[in-house]
Amino acid sequence: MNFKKQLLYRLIVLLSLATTSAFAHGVDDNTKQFLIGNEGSAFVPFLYIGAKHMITGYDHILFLVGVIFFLYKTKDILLYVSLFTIGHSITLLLGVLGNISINAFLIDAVIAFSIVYKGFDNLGGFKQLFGFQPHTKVAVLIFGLFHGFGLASKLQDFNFGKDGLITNLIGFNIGVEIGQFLALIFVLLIISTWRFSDSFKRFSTLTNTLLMAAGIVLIGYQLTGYFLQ
Amino acid sequence: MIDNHPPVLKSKQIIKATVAAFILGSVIFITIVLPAEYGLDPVGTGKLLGLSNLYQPEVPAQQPAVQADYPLLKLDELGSDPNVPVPTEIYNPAPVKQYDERQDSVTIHVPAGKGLEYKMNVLKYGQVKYEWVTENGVLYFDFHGEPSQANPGEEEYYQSYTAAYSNNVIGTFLAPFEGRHGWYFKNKTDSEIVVNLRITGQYRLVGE
Repeated sequence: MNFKKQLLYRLIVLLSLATTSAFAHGVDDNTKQFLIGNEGSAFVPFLYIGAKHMITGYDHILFLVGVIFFLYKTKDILLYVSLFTIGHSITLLLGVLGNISINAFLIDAVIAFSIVYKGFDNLGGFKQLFGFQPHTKVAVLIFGLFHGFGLASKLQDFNFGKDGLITNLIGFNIGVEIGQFLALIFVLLIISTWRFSDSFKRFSTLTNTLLMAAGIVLIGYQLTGYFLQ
Repeated sequence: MIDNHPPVLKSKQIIKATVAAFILGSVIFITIVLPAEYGLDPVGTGKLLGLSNLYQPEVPAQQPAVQADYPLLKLDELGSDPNVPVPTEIYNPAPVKQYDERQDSVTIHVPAGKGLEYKMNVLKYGQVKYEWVTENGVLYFDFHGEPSQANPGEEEYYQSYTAAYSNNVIGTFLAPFEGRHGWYFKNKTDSEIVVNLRITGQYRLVGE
């Protein structure tokens, strides 16, 4: 079987892309400079910033990995990803337009918690340990809402002018979806290839355990940031 | 056919996985993320692995040295009042020999809310180079000169060469007349400002 070769190849492609954007969550200095200096509408730059934020936003991506981990029907993947998209778009638009600001560290901690939640959910933790299964679609929508507030707080960090706010916001939002789509392609490439291997089942528990661990690291990271700010 | 259903785990396995995730996450967080991201090193791994070196305390965004909100200076403010008569001494010829070359470094403490002057004697066409920089904050300064006069009037005549708000200025100076030339520093802040002044050229310090 050339399955392993294929997986390896895809991993290399993925890693080579990932290294160019390694430690860039939030907004990097150049982008910051642009955002502070920007006045008026700048659709394409904001589109770019949104896409870049999503592709380099490991917390959003880890959550998506958790969400689609056991989804194999295209229809299901589309449904869940759409729910997530609707969720975060609502709060991104509402948050920025309504000038609702939640502390970025706290909202990022909730986003990190969503990763732990989804990992635990994937292990069957709710059903097995607590005897009930929270509605997975509703959960994705609700966590989508939190992710949206996180996106909004990234934009709100910069008091860019009210001129062209709507245009820029929509640009950012569409950028986020493009970035999410691109990130999703890579995640799906890996998972769907891996899914045809026996090792998928064997390692699914380990993977979701690692997902939870990553979420816990991020919760600690964000909460420490909150208390030290 | 591939079985796509998630494996059904026993409660024990789930608890084990969850506990393992918490332990692994906490260990990574405490031993790696805290020292690398926040410079905190509760168990000494930051120092051991060199991760503490990654931590860079966040520097507050550099304030521009001179902010735009200082009062606007206008041409009319330059020098003494136009009604003060111009002393005839300024038309005296330059001496053949200037003061000896020398250099000095002085530290001037300008108290909060106060102004003070630092002066040097320079002959006509004497040349001086100077540099001054504050250790903390921006001062108003007026670099000016008063000609030596046989009979000074009630109000003293002086010429301003440069006036600005700054924390750092360098320049050269060719005295237009014999007299006392130097800096008036005005500290408009709430705390003392220390100025380090370097001068080199053909001058004598006032009071020597």
